[in-house]
Amino acid sequence: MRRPDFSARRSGDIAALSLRLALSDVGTLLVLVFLPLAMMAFLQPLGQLQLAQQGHAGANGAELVVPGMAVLFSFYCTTYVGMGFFREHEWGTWDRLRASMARPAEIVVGKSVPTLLIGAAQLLVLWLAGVVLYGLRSHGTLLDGVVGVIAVSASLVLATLGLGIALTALCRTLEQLSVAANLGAIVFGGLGGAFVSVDVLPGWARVLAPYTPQHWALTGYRRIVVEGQGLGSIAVPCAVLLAIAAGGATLGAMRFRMADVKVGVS
Amino acid sequence: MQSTGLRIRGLAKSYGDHQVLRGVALTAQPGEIVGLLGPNGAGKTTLTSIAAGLRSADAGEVEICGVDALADPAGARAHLGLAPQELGIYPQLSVRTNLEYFARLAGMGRRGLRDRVAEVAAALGLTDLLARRAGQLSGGQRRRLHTAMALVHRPRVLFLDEPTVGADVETRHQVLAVVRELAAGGVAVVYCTHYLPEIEALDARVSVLNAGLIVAEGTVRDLIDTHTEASVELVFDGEPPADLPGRRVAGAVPGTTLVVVPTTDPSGTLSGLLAGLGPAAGWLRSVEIRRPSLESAYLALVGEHGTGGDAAVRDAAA
Repeated sequence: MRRPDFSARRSGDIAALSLRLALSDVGTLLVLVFLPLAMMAFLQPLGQLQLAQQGHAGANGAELVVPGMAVLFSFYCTTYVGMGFFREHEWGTWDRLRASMARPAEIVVGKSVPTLLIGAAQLLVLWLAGVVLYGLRSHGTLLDGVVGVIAVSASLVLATLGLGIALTALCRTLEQLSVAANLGAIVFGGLGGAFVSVDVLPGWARVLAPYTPQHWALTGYRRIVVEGQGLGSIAVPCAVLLAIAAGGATLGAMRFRMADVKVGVS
Repeated sequence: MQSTGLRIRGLAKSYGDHQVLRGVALTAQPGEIVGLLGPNGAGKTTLTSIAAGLRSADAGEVEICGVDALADPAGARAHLGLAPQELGIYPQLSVRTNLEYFARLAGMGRRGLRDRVAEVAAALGLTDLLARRAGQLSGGQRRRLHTAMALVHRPRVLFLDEPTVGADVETRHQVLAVVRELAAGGVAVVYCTHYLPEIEALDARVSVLNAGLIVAEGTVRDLIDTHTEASVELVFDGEPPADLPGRRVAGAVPGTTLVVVPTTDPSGTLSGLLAGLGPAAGWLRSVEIRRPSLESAYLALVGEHGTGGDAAVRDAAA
């Protein structure tokens, strides 16, 4: 009898262990959560000023800075995808894993799932902290606000994963991956409007903004939270993020080779 | 017909223009230990990697317990255990978790898993260390864990690539004892090493890989009888007497000459040589009797620096 090509149990075992290993890196997790929370506090008055200038007199600034920092720091999760692979090389366990009964697809899925969980948990904590600590309120209905934020967040996490897979395939060392992820998060985050609204950026930056994934995530959040639009308004931002996720995953699948030698922390 | 544990035929692999394997054939029957010897760069790790499905082959066949490992690597890996040369352990996780993880990946259920982990840990002296983080283990303990991870799922074909490199005496003894036990239990073991006394201690069948070819194979006794003989070695300061028989080689110390005299009766030959030296005995620096050993047979096959043995390579290629 032909053996099944994919074992969910085995992939689950790999995911569980990979998550455990990722969570053992407490420092990085703190950066993913506490740094954006601190930045929100610093930037909230600026956000309030911008929203007031845009005619949202009742806004307290959290409507801009909570999604801004959430999107900015969510892109650091791209490194988590790669770390799951690069660390295996560093520890010498990659060949051991490949020589086990786990099939390549089970390994790749198992190594990717923790990023989804960490990314989702990060956004959940940041949004809840935004509500509790910074008084964030949606200007639309509560249901649209909750469902809309979840939909954009899910699309954002998938886009982050897709880009992480692509970067993992393209980079040879953890250092390269880290540089690419940092540049992607800060430069594209800035262009996309994570620090200040796109409409106050220089003209050249406004032209480039739609080419960043962060722009589409922030557009989706803004329509729901600031402008109080319905769920239909986030269809395009979510579709763009999902297309980025698919594109990244496809590029990663085309370029990734199990036999490639990767270099972790030396 | 009984299924062969491991059967490799005509295995070839090149990296660019460099031919690493040139039609290698190797078998390991169930219950047999095959010592795979060869100098660095001979192709041992490449051969092991191909058999484990980590690299592709350019040509040839690899069969593991009747499964075509090149066509169905996942099927073959179900029977395979591999301890690569480089240590591969998760340093943040406990010894138990490291072992349980690879047992789970091999499909073991939770019930049998704990017993099996305890069994393997006991065999390799890891029982008291099961709760300890792998990163806190000593070098020898890590090496034992690394080996245990390859055994935990009861493979029927086991590749151990230099399993005792850098290991202490205790670890070396434990690894050798486990290998003997596994073979006694019907596992086919391919044991790659540079420590030839281990091969003698395991009484392994030997395959010598040099320049991508198996240049000799057989029991340790076969190799010694076929490829080496005893000799008397005399080192002189300056030139030895012209009438002294034997092969002249530049000595290890500059200005000295080594004379190697092959013999089947080393003691008799030595006393005859010394008696006939006359005044030349005055510049005799040292004398040594070389008994035939696996090491001398190995050196005859691959050369002193792993670059010689051209005749053996030519014979194997032919």
